[in-house]
Amino acid sequence: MTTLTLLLCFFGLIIVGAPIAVALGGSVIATSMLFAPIPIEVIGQKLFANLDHVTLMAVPFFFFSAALMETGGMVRRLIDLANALVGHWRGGLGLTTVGSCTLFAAISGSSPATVAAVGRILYPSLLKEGYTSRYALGALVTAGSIGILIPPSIPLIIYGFVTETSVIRLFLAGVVPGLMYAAGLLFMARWLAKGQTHVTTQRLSWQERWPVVRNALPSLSLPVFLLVGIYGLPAFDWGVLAYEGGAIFTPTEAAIMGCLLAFVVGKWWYRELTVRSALTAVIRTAPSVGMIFFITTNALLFAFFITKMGIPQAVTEFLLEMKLSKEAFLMLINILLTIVGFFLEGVPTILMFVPVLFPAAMALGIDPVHLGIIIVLNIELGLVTPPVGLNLFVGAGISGKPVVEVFRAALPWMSVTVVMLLLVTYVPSLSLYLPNLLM
Amino acid sequence: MNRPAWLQRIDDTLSWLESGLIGGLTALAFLTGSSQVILRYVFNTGFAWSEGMFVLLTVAAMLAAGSRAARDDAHVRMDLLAQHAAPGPRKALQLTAHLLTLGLCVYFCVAGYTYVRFSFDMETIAPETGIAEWKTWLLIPLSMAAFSLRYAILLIDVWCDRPTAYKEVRE
Repeated sequence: MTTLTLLLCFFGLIIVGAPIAVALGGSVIATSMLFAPIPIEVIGQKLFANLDHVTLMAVPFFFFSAALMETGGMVRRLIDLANALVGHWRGGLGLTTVGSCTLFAAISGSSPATVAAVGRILYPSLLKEGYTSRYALGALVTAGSIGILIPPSIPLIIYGFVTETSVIRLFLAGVVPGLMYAAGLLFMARWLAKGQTHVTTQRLSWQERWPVVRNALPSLSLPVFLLVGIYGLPAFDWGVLAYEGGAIFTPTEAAIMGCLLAFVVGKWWYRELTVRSALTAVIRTAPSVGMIFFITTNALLFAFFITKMGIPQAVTEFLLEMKLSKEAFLMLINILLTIVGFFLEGVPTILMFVPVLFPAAMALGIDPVHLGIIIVLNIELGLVTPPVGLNLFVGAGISGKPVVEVFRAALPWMSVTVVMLLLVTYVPSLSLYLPNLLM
Repeated sequence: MNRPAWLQRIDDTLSWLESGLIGGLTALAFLTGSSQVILRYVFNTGFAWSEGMFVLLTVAAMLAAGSRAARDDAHVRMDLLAQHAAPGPRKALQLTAHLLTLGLCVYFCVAGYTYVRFSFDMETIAPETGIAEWKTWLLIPLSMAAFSLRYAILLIDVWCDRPTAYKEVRE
């Protein structure tokens, strides 16, 4: 009866259009008042305690470093670099789009932020050079979704936070699938460019490329700095200087240092960033993070309540009784999350479904890191499927085209996402090889 | 139809406060966090309170940002029904959603305040920062009061058929 009331309240709130955070928190409060009272002091305490974790603080600072990069002109330099390297190939600017999204993904950790930052600059250029808007939009919204697979990744931080899985292992697990996904999209960009009457940039000599590379070096230093900071360097001992190997920074420290570096490069190297414009960028970006924090505290309240009611254990027992194989369970998760992805964004998906599904996955012997990457790939798919696909909204905002048209444009590119999802689901070593090798 | 002056003044004051808190507290959190990293890895030293303070400042800034998101009605929702409903039922749905959200925020505000009172009576001190814990826990009732005000304003705006950010985006 308690579970039924909880579900009825939750879906009732969702149907009337209350925010997801309110549906999560409100259903808990209403049900607990009726059946299983939680002292009001405990709720007051949990609201803050749910957020009082240093790992969660990586989320705002990765958002801010992406905002500072965009405002400070670093994104433009990365695009120039990608264009100088591959712009002369067939579908060159399409390849540039995928390349730029991959480079920016290694810093931002957010998919819509990647589409917005790269798209604002590249969409008009793609049209100017004769690519169809369908090609341009498909490339942007799909390649932008790499942002949450290649580390750092906001959904992976949230997943690690909720399941107490090592965020560094999760980041490492995203590298191989992320690069394979980028390679698949590069192939698609080249293949779909067949028959397009676009302008091909003249191949630049290395002498001509050098100034572009030099100009982009400070921007490139940021992903290198973050990756070295999070994963560390091999051990060395030079007598005066010794290093034991392993991670240098925690993900949160890396996010802070990423902000610092983005600010320093934008202000003193490119001279495009001022303290005022940096603060404006932060104030503009912060509400997206504030929203995530409000959902997080309510989702953890929800997780606390359903655990108290024994719901995850009941789901686990039910699934074990069904005697599902690991593969069948993972397929079930893929189907469930694909359907959920039509209606829900990534972070709420993790916060709502992981507390219920995670114990069952562990009982079936699925690696938590593998599960995390599968969930993130499902979220990537959800980002480009209507009616609630954030990348589609951002793409529609940039192009002025209807969301349905943006979705149609993304369809051929999505085949790469689906293939990657199936590969990652059934070949666990793709995601587990690197973390097992290095940690 | 324009808002009455008193309502606009509340909105402007809240917006000013939110911007100040987001910018100021984030800058402070950034300075605390970056100095902590530099002190730890370059000078092999640090302050015991810096991590706790960094988290506290960031959470405070992000709760202010959550209130700003409430102003823009940007808290993520699944509003398929409202999107496809006729104007009358849509307004009813929006009013219900805002009213329920307001109710929850007021409840959270009271719950937060109750815990502050409890913490005040217990005279507990945070070991990391040395600050009386009730001062830290004040964040919840204060931020939830701001959320409540935001949703009350949204509720009035929808009731009076004034455009909200939510409406502008959807229509």
